[in-house]
Amino acid sequence: MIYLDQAATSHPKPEPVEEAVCEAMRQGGSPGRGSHRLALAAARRVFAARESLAALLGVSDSSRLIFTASATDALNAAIHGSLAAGGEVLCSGYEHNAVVRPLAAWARRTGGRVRVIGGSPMDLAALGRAICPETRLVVLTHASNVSGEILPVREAAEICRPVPVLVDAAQTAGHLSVAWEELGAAAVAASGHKGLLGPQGTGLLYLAPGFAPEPVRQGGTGGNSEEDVQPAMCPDRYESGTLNTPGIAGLGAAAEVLAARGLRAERAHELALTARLLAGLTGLRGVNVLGSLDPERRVGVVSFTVAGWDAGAFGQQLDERFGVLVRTGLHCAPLAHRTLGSFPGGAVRMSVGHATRADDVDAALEAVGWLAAREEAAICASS
Amino acid sequence: MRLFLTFGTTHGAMRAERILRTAGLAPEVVPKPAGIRGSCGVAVRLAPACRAAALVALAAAGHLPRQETLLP
Repeated sequence: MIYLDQAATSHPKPEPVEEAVCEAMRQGGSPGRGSHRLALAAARRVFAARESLAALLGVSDSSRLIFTASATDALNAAIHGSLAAGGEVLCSGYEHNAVVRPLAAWARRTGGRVRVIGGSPMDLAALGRAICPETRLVVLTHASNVSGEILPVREAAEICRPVPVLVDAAQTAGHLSVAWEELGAAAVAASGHKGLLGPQGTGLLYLAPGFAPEPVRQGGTGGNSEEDVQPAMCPDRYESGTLNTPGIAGLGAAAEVLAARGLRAERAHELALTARLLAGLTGLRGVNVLGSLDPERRVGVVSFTVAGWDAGAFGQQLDERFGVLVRTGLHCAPLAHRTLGSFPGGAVRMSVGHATRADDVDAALEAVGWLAAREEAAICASS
Repeated sequence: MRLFLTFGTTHGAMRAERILRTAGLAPEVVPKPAGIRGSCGVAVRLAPACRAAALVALAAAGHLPRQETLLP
């Protein structure tokens, strides 16, 4: 099997991640709930994970790193917690439905407006012109989950100031060596199970000092129990309910693995694979790669269409005939596909990661070439 | 007498524990006594004689307690 769906979820997970999850399950205890030995051990496990992640992601105060269930959960917390009724929100043309749908729901509920800023991948001058007194928030993906293109979020945050910028780092956390604090964003959201190599069911929300959305979820935090309002302090303010301790333990172990490898080395590995993939795909007849062809401007995500083929059928043949696993369709990002000109048909997406090798890419390219040289109808009829 | 330091959150108590251990002290994370209000469920307990050294270490880390309580 050749796994080229690292953008959906990283696989396989490093062994220390599996061990940490199992260890947390075996040990038990609910962090912040009571102070017997198991509860304290669980609390120390969560604390250590938060510290490791903060060090990896360039966050100096780890209490501002909130554990969530996913990047989607983190984005919802930031969007719904920070937007009041009315006004306007700006976003890029590359946003995932994790951004598009919460913004659309907010707009429908409150009469607010969402304006998409075009560009390939982002027209910073147009963004600057679009900022107005009505602008409440700017939401930008750090890298497209369809084309892999990296957006200039640091420059955008500079232009937008003092309007807060929320960055969706689902496709860059663990892939790019970038200190979150230095992005100039008000908040950064990420998955734990993609580039960060943690278990599914984990995510992160970094809140910069001065940005304090209302908690969208209220409930027990293990402290201030005599009060019927949420505590004011991070991380408790945003972490009501029992935490996913096994998942967080695994995510913490993953952060240690990544720190030991180094994010620069990880980026260099993925950049070489991306360049190899792009060079191979662009040489194949009938294959059209979406977005920039410069690997330096991308994370390890490459999507393409194949003349005469439905994307889903192509992906199925890659799996069944060659054991190459990819993701096809709209990738929960119809806005990005519209921007890239691949809506509604979608595309075939290959994404590389820590465990991908150069010969995986070569084998996948051979399979794509074999299929692209043939008719969909003939191939599918014979399978 | 026993000295109890509280930090508002369990995260804050864990951080204090690490700072104080690194400073060579012997903090204990214990259930917050009922007499202390407005904090998380745990407190950091120390011998009162360690108070000055503890506060120096915590101040150096920018992590002073929200409350100090001496209890018999």
